[in-house]
Amino acid sequence: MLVRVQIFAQAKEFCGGVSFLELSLPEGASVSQLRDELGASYPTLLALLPACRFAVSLEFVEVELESTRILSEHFEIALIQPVSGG
Amino acid sequence: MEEAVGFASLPSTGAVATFSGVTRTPGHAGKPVASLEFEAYGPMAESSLRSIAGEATNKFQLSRVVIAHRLGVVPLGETSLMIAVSSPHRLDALNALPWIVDSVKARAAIWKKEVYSDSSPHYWVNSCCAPYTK
Repeated sequence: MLVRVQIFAQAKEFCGGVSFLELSLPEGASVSQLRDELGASYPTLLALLPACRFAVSLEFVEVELESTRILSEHFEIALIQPVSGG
Repeated sequence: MEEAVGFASLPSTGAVATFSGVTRTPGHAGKPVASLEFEAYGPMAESSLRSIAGEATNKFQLSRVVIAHRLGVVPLGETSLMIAVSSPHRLDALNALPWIVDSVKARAAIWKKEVYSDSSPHYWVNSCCAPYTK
């Protein structure tokens, strides 16, 4: 399945300014597999990834639960690095 | 802010308290800040601001809450985060402000970068990594 991950701020800079990354994942892949595949497909993100969490359908996925959170092609996914609003 | 205060004020509110988060200098490592630039994951940032407003209302018995965060370029001296809260008595409104500011900073999917007036590269606040260089 093809998944799209929205990226922001510094992650966007590390990927040449694009707002979305697309990856091919097996059906039933987990957020944990997405994390691994992102690092493999976009090595410029490797330094940033350990500090990042994922948001799926506008909710954070706890890092400890990434291996059990299963993804589907139409889910809205975002890569969230440490925030700095306010 | 005037509009926010107007919205927050009700006949029963004896207190309206406000906070403005303003772009200041110096920034990280003492560098001269010209502006901040804010980027957000819109839907999620908005939903977290709404949740924070709701939680603050319950926690501090507030009458009204306004939380507004500007995006894009916010030059030196200008406001990026604006909060106005109201309550019948002053302590609740005053005590709510630091909690709301801290909550926005910790939870909202918003990122800021410092842009400097010298030739230093910009800096993404709270970043674990050096800036991107080609």
